[in-house]
Amino acid sequence: MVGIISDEELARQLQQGNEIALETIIARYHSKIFSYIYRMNKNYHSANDVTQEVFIKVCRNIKGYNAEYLFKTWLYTIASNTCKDYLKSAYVQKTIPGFAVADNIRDYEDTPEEFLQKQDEREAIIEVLNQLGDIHREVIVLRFYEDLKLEEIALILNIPVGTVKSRLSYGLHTLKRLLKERGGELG
Amino acid sequence: MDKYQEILGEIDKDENDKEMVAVLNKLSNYTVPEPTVAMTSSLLNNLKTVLRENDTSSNEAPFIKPIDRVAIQKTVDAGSLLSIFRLVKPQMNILTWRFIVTTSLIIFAGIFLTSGDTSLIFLTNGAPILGLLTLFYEHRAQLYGTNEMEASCPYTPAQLAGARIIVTLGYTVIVCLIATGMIALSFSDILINEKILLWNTILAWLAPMVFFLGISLAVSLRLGIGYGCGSAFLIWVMQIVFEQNDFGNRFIQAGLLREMPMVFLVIGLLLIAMHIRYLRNEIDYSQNG
Repeated sequence: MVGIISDEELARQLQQGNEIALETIIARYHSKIFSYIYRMNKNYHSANDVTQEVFIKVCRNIKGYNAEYLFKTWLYTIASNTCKDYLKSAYVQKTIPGFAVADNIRDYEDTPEEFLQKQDEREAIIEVLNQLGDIHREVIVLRFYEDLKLEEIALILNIPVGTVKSRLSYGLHTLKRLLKERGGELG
Repeated sequence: MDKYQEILGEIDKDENDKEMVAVLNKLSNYTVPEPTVAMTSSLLNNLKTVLRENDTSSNEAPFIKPIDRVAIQKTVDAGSLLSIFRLVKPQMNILTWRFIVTTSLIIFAGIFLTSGDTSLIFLTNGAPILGLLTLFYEHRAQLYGTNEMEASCPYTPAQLAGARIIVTLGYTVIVCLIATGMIALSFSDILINEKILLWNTILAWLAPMVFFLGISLAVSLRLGIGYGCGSAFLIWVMQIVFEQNDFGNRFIQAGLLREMPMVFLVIGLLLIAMHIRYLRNEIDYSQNG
């Protein structure tokens, strides 16, 4: 049975300039990092640019990566910081007041009615997520969508696990309240 | 659903909390577009370029500016003694404030807590230890294996050693002179009574200190500063033990040691001079050409 090479081993090979390792890392993480960044800044094209920047930083700084630590948390830390820098940048502050409307995604197996219904639900959740503070939204995105453990999120955001837990709890409770306020029935 | 249970457990909610499950269901409706194959391919190409750039830059031999050895020679040789004094200031920085405060406080506290002859005995025995500690602290870089780095600086090992000896002696002598002043204040006979001259008091601690420094420096030429200071410390312990037993006492009482401080001082100075001379003659790190 062929074992799956760990992220840390791939990172070690990447440190030696192995392009196959790079391809494997991209296959594993491109989509994940892209979706994380997309959920944080809501723009398809800027998500692509920021994702590109994240991986360039990874390649440039790979020699400084210590394989004793999880590669995944190192990668997400870079992604989180790059995303924050982008959102703080003068360009975003000037040209994107608030968040842009999310791009439509169409599943071509859906009927037009189903598509519209899904689109409504999607926009509703995006709207309430946008009403959350950045710190709470980020924890929800990392925990729910990126499926990271509380300890990993704590490492990425450099905060105690208890704080991650309280942010997650506060964020979800606020989402529940906001969804109720919108008149939607829950449960 | 396992993920839901896990998250609900983390926020201390029951897995049957229908409202919260509904919130999580709504969250799962938020799907995002996948990056296209073209985007992944373009990203990969860009990254490969970055990776190759990394490799090229790390494989290239680092560009080292050629050293103007003539200029260095001129700078260093321009008054060898002057170069040593120029080195004293940076070498003084090696002694941290924490070290200075701790060691001087121990000496002053010892003088403060003792009186009369006991103060003198404390200072006579404490000065060599203070000297050895300072010498070791000045040379502690050797423990970190920075000899090569030191060797690459334009100053010669002899000049470095000279500067460090000046700092060691300077610091120890200042502390001990202050301690002598403290003794003199409480033991006015030193200044008044001709039998016990101030010079003799100073010589009483200066001679053993210089002697033990000389021993440690001489031994360090072969075994390094750690063993140098260690062996000098051992001799110091043996001397204390010797003074405590009957034979040693009789030896001291017979007055045979009366003239000894000056002898020890001379031996110590000779050993220090030998240390510097050896470094000057034997160790030459300079590379011609």
